[in-house]
Amino acid sequence: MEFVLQDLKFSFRSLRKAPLFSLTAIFCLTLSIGAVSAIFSVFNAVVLDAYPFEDPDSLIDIQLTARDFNFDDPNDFTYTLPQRSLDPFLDEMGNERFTWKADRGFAITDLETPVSIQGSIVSSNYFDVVKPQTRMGRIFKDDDKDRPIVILSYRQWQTTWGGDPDILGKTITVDGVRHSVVGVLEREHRYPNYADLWVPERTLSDAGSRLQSRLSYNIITRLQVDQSSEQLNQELTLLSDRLIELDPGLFNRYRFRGFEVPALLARGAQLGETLQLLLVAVIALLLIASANVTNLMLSRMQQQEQELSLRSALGARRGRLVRRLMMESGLIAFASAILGVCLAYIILPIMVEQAGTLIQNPERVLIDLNVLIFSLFVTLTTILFVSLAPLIRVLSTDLAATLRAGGNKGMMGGGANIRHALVTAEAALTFMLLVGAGLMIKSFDRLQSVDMGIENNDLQTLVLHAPASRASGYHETMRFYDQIIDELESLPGVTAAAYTNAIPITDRSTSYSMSIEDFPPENPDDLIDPAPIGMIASNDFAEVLGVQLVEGRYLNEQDVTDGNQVLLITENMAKHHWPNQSALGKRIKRGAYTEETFQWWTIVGVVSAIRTNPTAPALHRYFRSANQHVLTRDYRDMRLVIRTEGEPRAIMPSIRREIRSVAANAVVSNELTMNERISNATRTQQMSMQIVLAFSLVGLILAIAGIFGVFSYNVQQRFREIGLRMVLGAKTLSIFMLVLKSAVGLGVLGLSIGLVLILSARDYIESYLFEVSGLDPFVYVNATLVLLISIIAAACLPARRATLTDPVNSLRE
Amino acid sequence: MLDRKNEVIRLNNVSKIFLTEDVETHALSEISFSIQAGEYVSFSGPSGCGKSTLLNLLGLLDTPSNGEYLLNHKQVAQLSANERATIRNEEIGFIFQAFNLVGDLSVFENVELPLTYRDMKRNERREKVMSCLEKVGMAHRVNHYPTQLSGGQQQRVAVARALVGDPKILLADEPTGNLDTKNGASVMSLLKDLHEEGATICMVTHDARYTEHASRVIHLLDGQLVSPEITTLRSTA
Repeated sequence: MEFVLQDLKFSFRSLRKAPLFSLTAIFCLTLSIGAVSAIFSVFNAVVLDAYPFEDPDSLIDIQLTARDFNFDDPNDFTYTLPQRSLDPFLDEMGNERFTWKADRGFAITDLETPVSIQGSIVSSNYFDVVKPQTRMGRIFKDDDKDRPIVILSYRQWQTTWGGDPDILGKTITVDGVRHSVVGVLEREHRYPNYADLWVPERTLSDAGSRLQSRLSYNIITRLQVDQSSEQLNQELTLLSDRLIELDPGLFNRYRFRGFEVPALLARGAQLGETLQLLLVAVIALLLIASANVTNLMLSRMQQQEQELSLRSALGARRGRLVRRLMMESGLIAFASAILGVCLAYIILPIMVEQAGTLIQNPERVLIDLNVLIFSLFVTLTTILFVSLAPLIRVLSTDLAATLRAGGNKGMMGGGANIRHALVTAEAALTFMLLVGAGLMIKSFDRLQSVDMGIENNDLQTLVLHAPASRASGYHETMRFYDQIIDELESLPGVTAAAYTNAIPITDRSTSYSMSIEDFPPENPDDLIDPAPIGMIASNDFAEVLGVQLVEGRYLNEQDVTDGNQVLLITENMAKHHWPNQSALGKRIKRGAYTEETFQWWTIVGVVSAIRTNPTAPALHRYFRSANQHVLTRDYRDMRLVIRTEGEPRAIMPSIRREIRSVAANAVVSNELTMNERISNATRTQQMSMQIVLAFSLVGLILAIAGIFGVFSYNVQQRFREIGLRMVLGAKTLSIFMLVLKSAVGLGVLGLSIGLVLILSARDYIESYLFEVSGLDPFVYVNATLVLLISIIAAACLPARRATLTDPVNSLRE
Repeated sequence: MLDRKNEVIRLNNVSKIFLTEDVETHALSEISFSIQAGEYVSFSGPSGCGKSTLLNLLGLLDTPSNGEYLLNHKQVAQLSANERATIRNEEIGFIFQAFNLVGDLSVFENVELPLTYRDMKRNERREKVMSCLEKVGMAHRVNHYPTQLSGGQQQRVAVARALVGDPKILLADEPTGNLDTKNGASVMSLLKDLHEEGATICMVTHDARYTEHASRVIHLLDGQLVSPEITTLRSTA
């Protein structure tokens, strides 16, 4: 132990005496360990430990799916349960094992500024199944279902009530009804759908069956001991089959299906996959940094060979020398690990802010024990990695010979092959990062230029929650929105305004089962496929949105006055069903062909298709006037689109003022310009592009530093050889080119290896790209130029130094 | 009487002063002499007398502080680094005490090295390299590396490298200093043969046995020529 401490002391002293080496090595490793730890923190929160429940895999979310549903097809939707399916389910299966929740927005109106909070109405045994941890207070009990009580998430408690320690027992106004706060859940618990507020059933002003009929539900359960999700699904299939007789319109096409919650949340979530890509990128960065440090250590070891030889001559065993070496790398790595974790601590909030809504549980993104263990693992691996080459050299060098030679290796620089291999590897990894960043930039550029089908500039959007006083019924609520629109359109700077149940970009939309008059089905329950998305909106919504009219006309007030049951459809829907003829005048209806509940609607206009986000194909949509089409749910949260003259943000204060002047309790939320919505839709790609670009730039800087270091050392080692070449007549340019060629040669070799590696990972890379080939020549040529120019720049100074070699001195040494 | 037209080297009042911090060291003072084509000149004197400095000046590795140096009747003291490199490459061959072979290059590549700084075709280079290696008896070791050769063999390769560019002058700095007696004699014999074939050789040596090979010995002491009368003249066999 004494000798270990002694070695540690010597190592520390030795590093202190070589501050440039120590600081450079620590800088390289800090950067990479910091980046790895930060990315892993997000990965840990979003992918590895995203579900802070007891036994998350046994938690099952039951929804409706098409009978031929394919989990792996992202275009196969899952549907929340309408009331008409919830009741028979619970009747058949019972309330004990199964609980339910219905997500919706809630207006908290007794605050200085009313806010809208996403939350859930839950059955009283909901928390018994989900089993969250409480920060304070309690969860709901069996007899709570009619009580006006509320449970808050940790986040909402912090942001809206400032973490008020006396929050329990306080009353808050939720959708116009006073509710008492009975509990605050632990920091992590926001599932499902990241709710921030929970109320028991039947506590709101519009409680009772009327409320419930407007909601859509998820049934939640836990797998029983020894029960698999497949067994549960067999049970659910049998139930669905039994219910066909009761509700053939629904259960002929749909069935209940249970999903393990982690799998369901991960389905179609791009962030997890993106983080995997970023982890690969950050590991490449770590390898580049490690290669740099290895090179530095090799060079340092060369300088220390005489000392190590002397130690050997004095009786030090190889093990002791190895330990001495490991101590130095260990000290460097641990210093870097501490600083790296500090760096991660600094950059994490920036990353979370950049990611925006992509990270739905930002409070879980933190440097926790998992991250620290991971950072320690990375550090230990790094120690091994950076020590390996120097260790091999120590173990394979004839130290006695070194001692005899007085440390003079003449013109044969030792370890050159290892150093060159490391530089080659750095060049290969940097090339891969540069190509990856280039492809992502190009892919993102393509995403930005996608025609979304609307005029997205100068367009403000917001969610307006109608106050209870103006929402006693559907039509009264719509009158409230019409009034708001009229007032807004009179504002200076506003050219037009409209409202809708869902904004096509980023909002969750509802698709409706429909039938076409021209195509009577063989089976009366057959519906058109795909089911179109219903846009229920004010008459001029499509116009305000800037959706191009392809044929026919937009909706107008006259349609409502005359009672014409009309609609607009999108061009892709028209072409799909009437490929060789005009869709104008054709009639479609909700529900099955023979179902008499709904009327036939006549198509009066065809408008251009609208994309939900730039990466997805445009869905079939139709537009109906909100004054003709009665929404059964969510109508108190309508979306406003406001066309402005110039920057929409500038006019938001007067928009808010105008809304308050109509209804002081109206809650305005989700204020986003349309461009911000589109930007949010491509946030994953933007974030990964920015991070990979940042990594590739840091990688490039590290590679330049590495190449500079290696060739500076190389020139130093070849001092005599270069002098000799000058003696033999080599001109300045020849010497300059000698060093440069050597650097470029390694660069080209690294580039070739990188090219092979990236081509072999082409399919993987292309899965992250949008309309860009993994072989895009523009990107490859530019990455090659950037790398080669950087290598040349890095080698120029050592090459210049080589030309200044004094041949007389070089041969004298 | 020396023939001026046949002179390859002429030094007129050449001095070399090294400045180190506040100290001026006169390595060479007011040196004047000339060397005729085909001469075999040996420089002798005790350590630190300026022999190597003189050889560096002659080899255009260094520039004189004062005086003029004519190489093949041309002033060379004020030439640029690149012009001096060209002259070194084309007109001067160097042989060093420490051989100075490049460890990473094979015997062939070491000898070829000076030719790589000229615009010479590969075949031509190969021919010249092989011819020189045959001359020094090392043609059978073309693919070997310096570490695989004995000291004597390494010096033979160094001699071949000095000869490969067909230089007008060979400069040898203690060519036997790192060799045993047998190998030393062998290298000296090689230089003697080259001289007999017409090469101009300037050699620095401590070893009195090898000064005898030279046709003239120039003695140096404290950076100055010992009186010209002591300069030994020998017949050129």
